[in-house]
Amino acid sequence: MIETTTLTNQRVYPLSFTGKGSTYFGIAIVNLLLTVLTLGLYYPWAKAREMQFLYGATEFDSSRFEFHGTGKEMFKGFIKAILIFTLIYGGLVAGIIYEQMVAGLIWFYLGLIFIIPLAIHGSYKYRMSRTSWRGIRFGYRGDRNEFMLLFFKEMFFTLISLGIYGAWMAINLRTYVLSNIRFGNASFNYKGSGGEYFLLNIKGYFFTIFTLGIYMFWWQKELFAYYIDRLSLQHGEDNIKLKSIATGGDFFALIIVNLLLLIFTLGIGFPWVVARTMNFIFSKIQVTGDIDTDKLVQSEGAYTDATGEDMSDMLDLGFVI
Amino acid sequence: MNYPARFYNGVSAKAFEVNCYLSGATQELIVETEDEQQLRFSFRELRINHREKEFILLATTGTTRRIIEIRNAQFIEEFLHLNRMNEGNIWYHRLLNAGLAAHIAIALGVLAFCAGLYFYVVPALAEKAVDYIPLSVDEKLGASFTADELFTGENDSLLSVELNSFLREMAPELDSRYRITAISDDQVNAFALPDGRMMIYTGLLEKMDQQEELAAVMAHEISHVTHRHSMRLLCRNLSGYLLLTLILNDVNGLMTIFIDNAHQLQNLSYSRKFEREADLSGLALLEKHQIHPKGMISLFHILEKENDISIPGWMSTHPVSSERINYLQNKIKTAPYPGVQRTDLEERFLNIKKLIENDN
Repeated sequence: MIETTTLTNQRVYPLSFTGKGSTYFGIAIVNLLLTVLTLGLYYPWAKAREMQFLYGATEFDSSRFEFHGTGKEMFKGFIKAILIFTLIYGGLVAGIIYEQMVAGLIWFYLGLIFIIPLAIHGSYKYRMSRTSWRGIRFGYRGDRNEFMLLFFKEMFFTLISLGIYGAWMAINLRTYVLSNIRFGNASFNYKGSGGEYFLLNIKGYFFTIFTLGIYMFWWQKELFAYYIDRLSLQHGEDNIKLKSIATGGDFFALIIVNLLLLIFTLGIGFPWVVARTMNFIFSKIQVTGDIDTDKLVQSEGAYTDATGEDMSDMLDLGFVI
Repeated sequence: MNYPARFYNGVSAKAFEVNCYLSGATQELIVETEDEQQLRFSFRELRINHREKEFILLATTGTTRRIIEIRNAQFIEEFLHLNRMNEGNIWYHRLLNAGLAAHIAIALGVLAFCAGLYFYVVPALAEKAVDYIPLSVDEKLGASFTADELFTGENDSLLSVELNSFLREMAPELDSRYRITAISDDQVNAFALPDGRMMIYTGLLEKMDQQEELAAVMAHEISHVTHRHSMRLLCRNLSGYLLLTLILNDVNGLMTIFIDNAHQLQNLSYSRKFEREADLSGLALLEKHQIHPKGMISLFHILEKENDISIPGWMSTHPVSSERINYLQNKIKTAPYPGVQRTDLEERFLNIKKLIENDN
């Protein structure tokens, strides 16, 4: 399973997702049943179960990842997040009732803009601290105030440039977040440039139009590669590099089949879609390097506040930025 | 029975190849390292983080998480059998391992449950809620439709005065909320706003030959207002939509589009239900004031001629005219008309017809 060359310590680390759609379907359906029966209150526990399955079915260098966040932690976060949203929406409703529409809207939008970076920061902090491999925790070392400042600055430039700066914003935020991720005493690095990312998207956009949408899959391939290829892990002098080996054709097959699966099962097939996609992603990432994984040691503390995680869920932010 | 396993001490990622065995009597998992050290973990402090047919990952609770990985189906069986602490979750695992057929059955069950909520429970609750919403909200809602944004035609005030006299004559008990505005436009239509304002297009008035037809239009529109159909439609629509977004929260966007359209169709069916209710309660209103119900039937004959492009019933906001004529006729048969003639209304009606002819 492990390939080693004798000249250097460079080797390939196997990475795969072995979960089956049918297993995930069972988990999702039982979760759905319990969530409906408890009028939604089961949601945090449901999420913990699903994450546990998805992480547990992902294997790196012959060991599984682990998600060990609990429903209880996420439930507490859930309640806090609901309170925060109630405050934000409450202001809007109060604005309508007392005919202070402008004040209400300002409160609402400022509130939303304010909690987006908070949610991103909080969810990374929680999610990383609750992820481990061979018992070694991941960690997120980003500073909340620093990240919020960065977020507002980038947001401001994006607004005044009518969105053009968006590509730089995406890469700068991604660089900040990913470069602050620790894997035990090893640290991740992301190196990307807003200019390259901008050109990549411009090219993708126009080619997609010229080819009546067909180029979309190749655009997707380039976006994926720009994420994966620029990411590396550093441990002292040693490092691990990631590389995407996905082709546009691979993405075409993935997306079209996923779409057909969803349409013909009226959405019930989505666990198979998730399993196929996870399988695709991890089989298309090649991991090589010279870090001796036995030398990784525990260095990140535990963090149990899941408010950010739940806020991201409610904002539908998604985890990957 | 001894099982080979891999052990991680929670301090480094180095794997220790170990042997482990289970003790049911002491409820413990015992790990023996290569240098013959023994580590004992009570079942109470072990959590199953991941389990497959031939793989299990156990982790200790507490801040230092120690991990035991075992790739052996027999171990898993023995562990689950001996570990009585796990019993609390047995129902969950039973559900989880019930098999694909059972899971599909559960999925369909949940689907049926949600459908029941959506089609019966929530609309009924929403309509109940309407009783607790003060009438002033209907008034505000109606008042928010101002003339110019909604009505394409011109407001014909002389005709409106006559129409209102007709209305008062026909049903003197109605309060001042109910008032009619005539609109000069070729459309063959009429509608009511939730605050009691009713609009009748001159296009429809032109097509009328009998006072009973005018009375029937008014009775129908009055019924929409008295039954608060706008408010009920709004409440049903909003609550139904809320439920759908809650249920489909994290299901894919495709499903949402699908459901969105289904929801629109469902709203049309509420709308048809309310039209039917307005027809029947309008009919009752006519009977109460001794106006011959034939007016309502000939009214739908007029509408039927106008809308010669027929949309299938389930895609329309209104029931098909022929269907309306049918159920009205059935209703009339069960309660025959007493046979008095309202001559007072005839006079008013002739005035109205004269005004329209003068306009042309």
